[in-house]
Order: sequence, then structure tokens, then C-alpha cells
Amino acid sequence: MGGVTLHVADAALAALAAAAARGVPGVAAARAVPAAELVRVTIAVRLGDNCRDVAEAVQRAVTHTLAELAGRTALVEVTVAEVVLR
Amino acid sequence: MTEAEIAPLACGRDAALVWDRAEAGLPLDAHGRSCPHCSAAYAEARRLDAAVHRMAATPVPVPEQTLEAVLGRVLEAARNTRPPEPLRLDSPLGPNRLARTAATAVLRALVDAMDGVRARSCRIEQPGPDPAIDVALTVAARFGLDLVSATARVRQTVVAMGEQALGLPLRRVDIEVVDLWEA
Repeated sequence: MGGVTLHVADAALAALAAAAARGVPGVAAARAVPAAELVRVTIAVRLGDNCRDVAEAVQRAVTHTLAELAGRTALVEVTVAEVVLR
Repeated sequence: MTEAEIAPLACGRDAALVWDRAEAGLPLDAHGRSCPHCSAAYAEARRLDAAVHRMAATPVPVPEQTLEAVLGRVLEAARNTRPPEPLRLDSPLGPNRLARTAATAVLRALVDAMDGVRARSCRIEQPGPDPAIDVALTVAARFGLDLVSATARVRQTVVAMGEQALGLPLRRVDIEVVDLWEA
């Protein structure tokens, strides 16, 4: 049997990354945009949760999910675009 | 008589009432129809109203060069208006970012939740290589409030809660009381 090539499209990577980000406590909303070896994740954080800690937790969760489910090693950069006040 | 007051007509009627009827398209009442002063004021107001509507309906031609110049300036201004640089959030996995608008919204909400003070503006700078931030707040305070202790309370809350909510150490907090309001 010949080798197997796995290619995960950017749209699928984005969906995986966003879902992983949304699973992190404190994240109210998330979207992701893969760009080459970098995945940019933009999130909204609930007021009361520490933005730095939530961003780092999202970084870890997305990195782990992409490696585990898509076999991709990517640098993840998280931007907290909004803090949901209520 | 001040400039705002309108002299009554010679018959004693308030001229403004006659003009209002003309503008609304209502006919004159019995007195007005038989009164030469009211009839003249009414006719004049109708003529003026018609002229104003005619002018308002006339399209104003904009020279093409002017239009292009105005659009060019608007587009140039839009290109030069960049969103402010986000704040850096340190992480062992590589730097993350926090939008300044989000950070200022948090600090303003903290101030607004305090008794007797309201945030007016909030500016955040992150000058050094480390992630520490400098905050400049302007606030309005309730009249009669002890401003020294109130601003000390604001500073203490912003330093403690801001660091907890944002994850950024606050190196400096400047507070300026710019307004007072009466309860």
C-alpha cells in the first residue's frame, strides 16, 4: 500500500481552532484565521476573567487541538478583542 | 422689545399665529378673511413658504472636481486612521495581544461601578519592553465628595482590579478630576 497524505484545509483548521478556543473557561466568543504556520485567534473574554491567563489557556488549547486532531504544529497568537462587561 | 419678540399686527393679532396657519396650509378664520392686515401677512407668508420649498427642491449641482477633492480627502483620512496598537500579553508560548479598547473599557467599568465617580476618559500606554502599563484617567466626581480620598480609592481599585482583570501590572495611574456633578 502506498503512503497516505493528509491535508486539512484552512477552513477546517479555523473551525477546529475556534471550537478549541470556545471551550476555554472565560471565553465568550472566538474565531480563528490560519495563515501559513501561524493561527490567529481572536476572542472575547468575560469580565472578571484574567485576559492574560485566558489568552494563554486558549493558546495551549488550540495548539494541543491542532496537533492532536489535525497533526499540525502551528504557532498560535491570541488577540483579546473585547471584554464582555455584562 | 427683544429681537425674539414679534410685533402684533395692526389689528392686534399675533403675526406668528397667522404665519403658522399659512405654513400649515390652513385657511384664515373669519376675522382673518375680512382683515386686510391678516390677509396681507397670510399672503406674504404663503409666498415665502412657496419660495423656500421651491429652493429646497432644486438640486444643487456639485462640480466634479470638488466632489473628487472631498472624496479624496475622506479616503486619505480613513487610510491614515489606524486602530491603536494592541497591548502585549506575555506568554511562554509566544506573545498574545489585548485590544486597547477592551482594556480601557474594563478600567472605565471599574471606575463607573464606584460610588460618586464616573470615568470620562482612559488612556493606556505600554512604554517599556516589559508588559507593565501606565494609565491616565479623567473622572467626574459627585459634588461634595472628598476628592483626595476618592481619587486614592479609584487608584487603589484600578491597580488591584485592573491587574486582576487584564493580567497586566499597572506601573502608574494618573487621575484627573475634570468635572463635578450635583447629586
